[in-house]
Order: sequence, then structure tokens, then C-alpha cells
Amino acid sequence: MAENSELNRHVDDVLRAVGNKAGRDEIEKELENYLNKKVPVEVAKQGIVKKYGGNIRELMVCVQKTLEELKPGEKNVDILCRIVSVNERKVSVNNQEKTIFYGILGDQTGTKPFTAWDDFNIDKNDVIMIRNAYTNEYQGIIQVNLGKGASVTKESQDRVPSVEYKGTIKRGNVADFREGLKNISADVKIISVQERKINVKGVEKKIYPGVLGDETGKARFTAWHDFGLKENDTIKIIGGYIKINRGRPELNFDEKARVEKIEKEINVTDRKMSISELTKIGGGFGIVIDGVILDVKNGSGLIFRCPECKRSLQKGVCVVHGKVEGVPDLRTKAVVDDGTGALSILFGREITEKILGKNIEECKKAAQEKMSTDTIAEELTDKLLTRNMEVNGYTLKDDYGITLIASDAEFLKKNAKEEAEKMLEEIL
Amino acid sequence: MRETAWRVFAEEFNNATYEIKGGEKQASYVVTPLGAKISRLFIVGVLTEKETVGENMLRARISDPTGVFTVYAGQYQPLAAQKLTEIKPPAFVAVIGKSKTYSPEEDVVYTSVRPEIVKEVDADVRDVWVVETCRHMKRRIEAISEALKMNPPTIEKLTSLGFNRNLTEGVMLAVENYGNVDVEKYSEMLIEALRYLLPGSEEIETLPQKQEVITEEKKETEDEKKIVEMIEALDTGKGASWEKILEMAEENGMDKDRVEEAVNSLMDKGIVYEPILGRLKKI
Repeated sequence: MAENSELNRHVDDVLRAVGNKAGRDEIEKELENYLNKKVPVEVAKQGIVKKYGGNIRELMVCVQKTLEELKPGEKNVDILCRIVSVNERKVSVNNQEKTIFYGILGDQTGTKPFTAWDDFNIDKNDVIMIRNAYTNEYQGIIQVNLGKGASVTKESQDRVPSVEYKGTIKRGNVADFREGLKNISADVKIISVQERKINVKGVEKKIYPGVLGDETGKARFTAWHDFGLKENDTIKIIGGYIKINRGRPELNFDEKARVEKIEKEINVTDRKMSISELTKIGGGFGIVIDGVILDVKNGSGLIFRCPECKRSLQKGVCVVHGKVEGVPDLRTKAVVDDGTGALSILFGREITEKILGKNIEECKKAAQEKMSTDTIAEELTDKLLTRNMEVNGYTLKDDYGITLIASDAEFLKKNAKEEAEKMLEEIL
Repeated sequence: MRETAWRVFAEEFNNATYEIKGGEKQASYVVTPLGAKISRLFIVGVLTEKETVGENMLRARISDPTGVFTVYAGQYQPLAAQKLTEIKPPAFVAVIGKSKTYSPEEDVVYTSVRPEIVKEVDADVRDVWVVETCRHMKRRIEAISEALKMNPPTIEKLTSLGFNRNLTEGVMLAVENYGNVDVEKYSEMLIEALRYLLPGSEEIETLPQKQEVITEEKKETEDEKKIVEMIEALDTGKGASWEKILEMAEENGMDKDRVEEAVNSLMDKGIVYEPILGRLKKI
């Protein structure tokens, strides 16, 4: 039986290549004749195609694959599958209107989108054998194409079970997270996770926000379902989607997603990037920027905050709570520029103390002596302007642009001579 | 969005002749032949001289390994102007400022910098700036070389090669307005600037043959090249005065005889001329 279907397949191949120049029985007889004389089957097929004046190229060896096995850029693949959905679209090719068909193919291993560039007379739920298809990749998703050389035969329904369409899963690293991405599969490590109660239309619901990461970077996430996530778990998330939160792409996944524990070493790293890259993405978490401080803004240095709302006071007055007894704090608002872009950065008290080399008490004393907080701002400006820094943190985006909230910042000591030598070697 | 502070050497900046005039709320841009589209720039060099021009305007010259920036600070830049007044040349200074152009007649464009921030710095800051500026210039050379290979170049094609949007826009404008940019000239400038950072002359001598061939082709001695640079630096339109050239040359360790010899040779070669007695101008 198996042998017989194998023979049938070869007959199909030859028939396709000779077109309507010969009948099935005739070809079958021819092929048996060749094979009885111990001619290798591929040679036999070529001989028959030539004999009937067919096109040898149509005979190219096709490999049958499952949808999951498909890679981008494959040619001559055969696929046994079910039509999950099919739609028509009119397109213009060389100024001529043409109808193409597109939709989703499915089998036991998954689903893939397809485009048929001709009418192969296919309907939803048909089980078909596609021969001589090719694949390409569009936005990271593999697509099946049925071009001129392809053929489709209907098969019995029991050959492919019914397929549930879950969308096309796209593998992604954290660095690939972008606005609008859906159906992401990602292998990640949970860096931290919390439990939070929220109210959804009057119903209390638990959600699980946190931070995850992989070799390419870190991102915040929200799990809308209790997957029992714990710190340091390495997991595969299938069916996540990206939401933008204040400019940052964040991974969300709910009860429709699949979460599996995996055995895999994942070394989570922060993501070093240029400011132009960061601006293009819109923001991120665990970002490292290497640039020069080109401005230190007003409102840097020793400030006083409202004890109620933590807003910084303007001349002892809070915009919301009026005149209050201010709580002293240190901060730095600056601009970092790496030549590809400029970015606002914010250093909190700890980093500002580190830059100044003195703590908040010493700053208060210095300001009292000089009768002005300006002295701290001036000192900060003097220490920071034109200096190279590596700044680590997460971003917030608002109407004024992106601000990097620093979790750490270091002065960078660069060896100009060494770098010049290296660059010269590259050029010469 | 804050404008990026471009890292660009004086020579590339001064070679720019194309400006996009902004409106009331739009920035103006000076586009260099390599495609730096500059509204703001960050420069570090040696403050070599300063003088008051007109009313309340301070003109300062800042030299880098390739040439000299002209900086104008007026009443609208009080902090920067005050800083410039305080700093005594020669001194390492950093300037963050806006690009400006001045065109006294058609086809003549002078670029200058209007400072927002001025700071006295040390040699380390300057050296790091030079190497960073080389890195950015190298990237521009790569981008414009790719663009010149394309027919026609497009932003999309350049972006697909990994050049960022900022740069690809500038490169497109450069190709449009300067045509076939002399990339080779800038590659040489880049190498010169990098060598500037290397200590002593031994390193320079151990550099491969290629470099020597280039200098031979130019047929200018080191002295002559320096003099040409000085003339360009000192020239504010009417040519550079002989006294100033001599003064600068002596600061750079050249005596009067050497200067005379170099200048005569440059005039013979038709590289510089004397528009009026006692003043020299590059042709």
C-alpha cells in the first residue's frame, strides 16, 4: 500500500510535468516499465517527461514538510494541510487586475499564512495536498506561496484533523518587542514578579506584573492570569502580545497564552543601544546609554519637596498644597547626547550624591553657608558638563519626549589613543 | 524633540555651503558635504584667539586637528559670552551651540557657531572628542560612499544598510546639493585626525606605505600644509595678514625663514595668492 501511494506520487509528478499530453494509465505503465528495468526513479521520470515533450523543470524534487518544519526561502515543498481560512483579494499586477487568494493553512503542527497567486479552487475546510509551493518571510512570519508551478489536489477529510487557529506564532527576543506585535513566543527569565489586585468593571482581579529578560534585554510584563510565576523561573511564553506603556514596549499575556517551564540557561543582560535606536523604539527597560552630558537643567541639585505629594516646591510653595515645610532631596535633570540623538535623563538622590561626592546633609550645609542652593547646582554642572557617562535605566515618554530614569550612572574613562589606534588599523 | 549635537571637525563644517533655513518654530540646518545635518553641534578644541567685533559681539576661534571654528557670542548668549571673556587663550574649550551661516555675496558661505554653553576643559576631554568625532565622521563617510554607489540613492535603501534616519536624511541632502562629494579628501582628513592623537612621530613612520603615497601626490610639504591651514584659519574674507600667519607659525615652532620658503612655494604652485599687499588667500 505504502509502495503504491509512493508510485502514485511519482505518477502525479510526471503528469504535472507533461500536462495533458498523456493519460494517467499510460504514464503509470511507462513508469512501471522503466522501474522493472531497474532504472532509478528520478531518471525514469525525467525520461518519460522528455518523451512526452513535458517540462523537466516541473519535475523538481519536492520534499513534503509539515507547517512547523517550513523555513523561509524554501522552494519545491509539498504540504498536506487543511484550509483554515481563505479570502479573495484583487490586486494589480503590471496594470492588470488579478484575483489572488490568501488565508491560513493548518496541520497537526500549527498554522501558517498562505497566498495563492492563481485560482486553485480551494474552500475553507478542504484538506489538500499542495505540491511545489515556496516560502518567504514577511515581518518575521513564514508565508506559504502557491505560484505558477504549484498544484493542489483534494484529499480525504480524515488525513488532517480539524485545526484550531491560534494565530501565527512569532518567535521574538526581548530586543524585538515592538508596538502592535501579537502572538509572540519568547523564552525568558523572570527577574521579578509581584501580585497586584485591580478592579475590572467592579470585579476584583489579580494580575502579576514584573520584569523579565533574555540575552537581548529586559522588559516589564503583566500576566493577566496566575501562571504561578516565580523569580528566576525560565519559561517559554506562547501567545503574548505587546502593549506600549509610556513609550515602552511591554509583554502581556493572559489565560489564552501558554506558559511552560523550560530548562535553559538564560543570561539576562541590559541592552546597550544608541539614542537614535532608543528614540525609534520609543523606550525600554534595562537600557544602557553611552553619551556625553551636554546640559544640566534648572531644577537640578538641592531641591525641596512637598511632604504630601512629593512635588518639588517653587520658592517654598507646592502647586497643589500651597506653602508647606519642604523635605530636602537631591536630583539631576540633564541632557545626554551620543551624536546620534539627545535624551533627557534624571538622576535621583543616590546617583546625584555619588556625582557630587557628598551626601545630602553635606549639601544642605554647603547651601546654608552660601545662603543659596545654586552652589550645589553649579557644582553639579561643573562635574557633569562634557563628561562621558554610561547611564543605565528605564524610560518614560510624554509630550516633551523621552526621559531616561537612571538606576545607575558611571563616568566613563575612555582611552582616546587606544581607540584611535584601533580605528586606524581598521581603516588602513 | 531636542536637536542632536553633531560631532564634526572644523574643516567639514567650514566646507558646508548648503543651509536649510528654518521658520519661527523650525530649526535651521547646515548640511555638510558628508551629510551631517547640523542644527546643534558639540565641539572641543583650542581657543586660539578672541576679539570684539561690532557692538557687544565676541568672535572666538577654536582650532581642532583639521581647521578652525569661528564662534560668535553676542548679547543673546550672555552666559556663553561671559565664559568666553573669562577664558584666556590658548585653552581647551568645549562649545555646545547652534550652526549659523553668513553669506556676504553669492556663492560665498561662511559657517559659524553660536554658543549655548561654553566650558573650559582639559586635554582628555579634547582627545575623547577627537576620537568620537572621527567615529562619527567615519560613519558619514561610509554612508555617503554607499549613497554615491546607488542610482538613485533613497532613504529606505540607506536605512536598510543600518544608517540611522538622522544621518540618511543628511546624506540624501548632501548628495543632492554637493553632487559627487570628494570622499577621498575626507578619508585622508580622518586618518590625519586619528594620527593627531598618537604620541610622537615614530608611530607615524611605522604607518603603511599607503599614507606616504598620498602625501607625495599632494606635493605639499608638511610646512606648506600647515601654512595653508593657518591662512584658511585666519582668513575672515579679506585674506590672512602676513603678521598673523607669522605669529601663528612661530607658535607652532616654525621660524620666519621656513614660513617664507613655504609661502613662496605655495604661491609658485598656485595654491595661495596675495589679493592685497601683506595679505594671503587660498585659491
